[in-house]
Amino acid sequence: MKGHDAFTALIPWYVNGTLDERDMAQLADHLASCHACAREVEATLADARAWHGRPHLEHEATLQGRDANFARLVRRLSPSQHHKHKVRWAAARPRNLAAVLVITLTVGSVWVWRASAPVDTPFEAMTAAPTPVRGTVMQVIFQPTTTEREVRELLLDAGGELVGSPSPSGVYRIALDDVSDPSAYAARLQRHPAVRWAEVERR
Amino acid sequence: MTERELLVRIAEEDDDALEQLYRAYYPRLARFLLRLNLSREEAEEVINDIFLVVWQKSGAFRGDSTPSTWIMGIAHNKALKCLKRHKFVEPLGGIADPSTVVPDPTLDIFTAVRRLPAKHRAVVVLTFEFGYSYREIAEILGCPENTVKTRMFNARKSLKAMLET
Ligand SMILES: [Zn+2]
Repeated sequence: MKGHDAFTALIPWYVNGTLDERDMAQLADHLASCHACAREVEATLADARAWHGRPHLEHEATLQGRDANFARLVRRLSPSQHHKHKVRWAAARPRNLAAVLVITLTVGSVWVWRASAPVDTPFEAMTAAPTPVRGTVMQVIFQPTTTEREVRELLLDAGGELVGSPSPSGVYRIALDDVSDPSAYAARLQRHPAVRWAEVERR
Repeated sequence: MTERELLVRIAEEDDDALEQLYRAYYPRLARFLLRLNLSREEAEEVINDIFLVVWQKSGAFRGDSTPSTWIMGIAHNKALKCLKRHKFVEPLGGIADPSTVVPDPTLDIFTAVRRLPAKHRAVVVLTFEFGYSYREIAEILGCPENTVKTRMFNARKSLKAMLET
């Protein structure tokens, strides 16, 4: 692909905010003079928003099967491993289903928000009512320079999932499975470079 | 613990690390596989196929890709294998020719994407659902960056033709 088509081809990643500086500069130049590509940006943005308007119908049901499915995986591991797992799983505690059910789509909607600002942009607050969750919930405010990708990595690292959307003041709620010492956990989060403030939610 | 550290521990047969990575990736993999047209039952089975590979091959993970693109790459391979069993209803590869598409104004974007060939669908889902760059997608699919761009370009054309009102 060359010329106009080569630029049109970049637009989906312009919209999802992942173009590098060089691609971005070249595309921005082209967009200034190509109406067709400018219209394509609008159309792609509209599709991206529509995309995040609806979760997959089966997704939540599939999430509910996570623990049972992990137990099935464990049975497929090698026999020596199997024994080790069997002992551990016999002692497994009942899991907090509510936390398992937490919707991860918020990360997606953050992404759409980011899509309208193609340069790596700080987080801003989105509006939403708090979602009730059982189990341990941390309230977190991220550093203003934190990107969606850093939040993704942090959630993975912390073993938690976002609940709902952040409050208007930018407070995110993170639901955690099986935390024995929530305060120590909050202290650990607080030390994370992407986190400005973290606290256990009071019930 | 970072994903890389988890992979190192999994290579040492640390089952707690395996469980941690599994729990972290489960929602993402479920979304990916369901969007690629796998049924819920297939998705559950394929997630375990993926983690069996992670368990066996994590020692070979060298870090020239990220853990995320490595795992999504395994997922993509396993998903395509699973979709081959749908072969009578599922166009797997090739170029969807936009000129043969009949526009249907009642379609939404999800249904339209489900009708794309699987390889085009994967590029669309990885971009719009997961926010990967075209470089990362090239790593995941194990193909040149230009192939990713071309698949997306053709997918957008087909989608437009399908959704035209
Ligand atoms: Zn153009």
